[in-house]
Amino acid sequence: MNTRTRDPLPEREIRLFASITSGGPGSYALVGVLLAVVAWGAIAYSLQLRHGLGVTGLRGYVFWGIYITNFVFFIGVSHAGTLISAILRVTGAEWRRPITRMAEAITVFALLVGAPMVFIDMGRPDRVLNLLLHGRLQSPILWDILSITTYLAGSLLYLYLPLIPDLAILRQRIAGISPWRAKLYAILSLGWRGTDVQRQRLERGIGIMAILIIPIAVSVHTVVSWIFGMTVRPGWHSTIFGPYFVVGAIFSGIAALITAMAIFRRVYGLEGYITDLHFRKLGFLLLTLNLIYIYFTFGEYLTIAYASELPDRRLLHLLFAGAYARPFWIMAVAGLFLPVVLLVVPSVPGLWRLESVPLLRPRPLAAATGTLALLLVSRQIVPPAAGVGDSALWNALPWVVGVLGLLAFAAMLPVFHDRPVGSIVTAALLINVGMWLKRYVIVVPTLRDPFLPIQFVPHEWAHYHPTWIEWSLTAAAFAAFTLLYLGFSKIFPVVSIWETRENTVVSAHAVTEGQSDAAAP
Amino acid sequence: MRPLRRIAKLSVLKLLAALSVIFTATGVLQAGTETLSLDVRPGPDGIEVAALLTDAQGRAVPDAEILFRRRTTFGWLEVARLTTGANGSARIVLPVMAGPRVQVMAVATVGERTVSKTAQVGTGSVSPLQIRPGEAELGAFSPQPGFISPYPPGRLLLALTPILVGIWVTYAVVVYQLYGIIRNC
Repeated sequence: MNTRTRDPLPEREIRLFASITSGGPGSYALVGVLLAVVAWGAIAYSLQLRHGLGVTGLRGYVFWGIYITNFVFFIGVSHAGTLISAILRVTGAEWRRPITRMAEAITVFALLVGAPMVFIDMGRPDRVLNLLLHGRLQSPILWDILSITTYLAGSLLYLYLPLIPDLAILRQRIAGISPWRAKLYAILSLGWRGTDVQRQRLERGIGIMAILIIPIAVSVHTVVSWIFGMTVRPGWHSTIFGPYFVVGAIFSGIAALITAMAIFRRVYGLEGYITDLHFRKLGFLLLTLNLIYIYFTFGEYLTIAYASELPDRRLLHLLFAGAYARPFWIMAVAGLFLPVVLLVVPSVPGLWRLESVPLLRPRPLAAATGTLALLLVSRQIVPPAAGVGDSALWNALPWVVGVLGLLAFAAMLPVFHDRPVGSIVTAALLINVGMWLKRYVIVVPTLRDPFLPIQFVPHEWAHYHPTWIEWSLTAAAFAAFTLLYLGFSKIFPVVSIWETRENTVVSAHAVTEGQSDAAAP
Repeated sequence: MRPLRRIAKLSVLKLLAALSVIFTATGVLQAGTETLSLDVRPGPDGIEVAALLTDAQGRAVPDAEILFRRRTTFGWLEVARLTTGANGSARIVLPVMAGPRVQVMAVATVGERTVSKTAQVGTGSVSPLQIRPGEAELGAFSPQPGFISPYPPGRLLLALTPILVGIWVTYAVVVYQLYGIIRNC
């Protein structure tokens, strides 16, 4: 660690510079892979521009596919910053200090990657300007453009404000950095010296933004939901879509934040800052939102199932037992219910007793799984004889796989109980996947089965299968998000230095004074 | 060995040159057997594109595949793939509103031969599609003319504008705080 010798930095704080100063072949290799994926996506997009949307699976019926799924997913993830940073800042939750920066950065980069998905979904992006020139103010799509632009501007401002004192610290403390970095820190720190007037100004700015950004964030995902909710289509035309989407967004945002926290803590050795306590507290928040989201999902489907009008019945059949049953049930089981178990497990006593259940011991379970795998492989190698393929055994195979999977999951519960952080991070990863699938089963099945069939459109166009172009662009979007986030962590500290420093002082002060709350930054 | 190689190389080059002459000549002959004419003109619903395929004797060629392409910002976009009728023609209408010009290409395939033709037309005279009619017209057949009207209703503007302006003014106040930080450094 190469720092200037003004005042020696505490050993603990030096860790915070690790993301900026460290870098080895591993990080270069990762950047290379991510750049390659982004470049591959660019090639795919150039083909889409050249040949039109015909190269995608989008047709007359399903005109929004995984591009809009990605859009809703990333806008949802962007809510991580708002909730963790703004709400916790406003409510004076001091434990949030080491994680706010990561959350705020997620917001900005998720918006930067998610918003262009709408333009990628357009066949003629060169006509984007027409959206503004000839847009209809009654259309939620135009509201979406306005609200996302406003949210992005606000999020950038909100990310930048608490960065200023840290940029001044970087400017003064880190030596041996490249001239462009030194210049960047000098410009962006705005001559910060930490005077009373400057602190007062900064405090005021952060305070205003913390309050303002909450309703803006809520409005953004409400407006995203209205794109669906204000359309008269089965499964979409619902009054609960606004709050349903907002809760879903915060839910997936926290899951994304926990994932980022786990990665940064591991890679840069930030255990001294991002502690188990942070995971536990966020785990409780995640569990609360998980339960609320299950409640909303239940309410959504029960309402349309109870009335059981023909188009709604068709949609429910598609989801529960039809073409979209697989993503739907993976979403419901792996993305909603298993995370609840994983989030609860660390607090449940006596789980070690599961180890004594014969069926849940590693050997019988491994033997059963191995037998099943052999069966599956043999079926691939030697196709079943006529009639055998339709037998009850083969038909029951998905159920067997499901039951074995659940048994394996149950066998892992004592392990998760002993590793609460691992349990919470696993839940977060499952939620990330589940929430992407949830957006997919919201967008696609409804489009495939409208109230009225579209005239003169061939029936086979009612099916949607994303092509490699769409998958490539999706992979590129995720790679771009990771790349931006990684780039940010290489230039700016991912944990706020001055806020965590103040927290240490405030905590010591609170102990002597018998207070529990902290002063404003 | 070297002279032998040179002779062999020369022979290959000569052979390639001879083959190219033969193929070029054949290509001219083949292209000459069918004629593709393209008529592109502005119509009431957009640009009307009619392709007519005739053989060397001027007779219509039915059941030939015609691929229509339109020039876009990003290259030639495939618009439609049709088969010529008994009169040897295939026709499409491009829903194009007024703009600078439209370039269209038709590629006819007869057996293994292809003939292509490109044409362009200015769209200054095309009447714009009636997608933004007035409130009065919509009111005649819609029970909710205000809802589907392309014109923003005043109340909506009244509600949205102060909210948006308020947010951006607050941003400006925050940016002003940054100015205060610079001034007091």
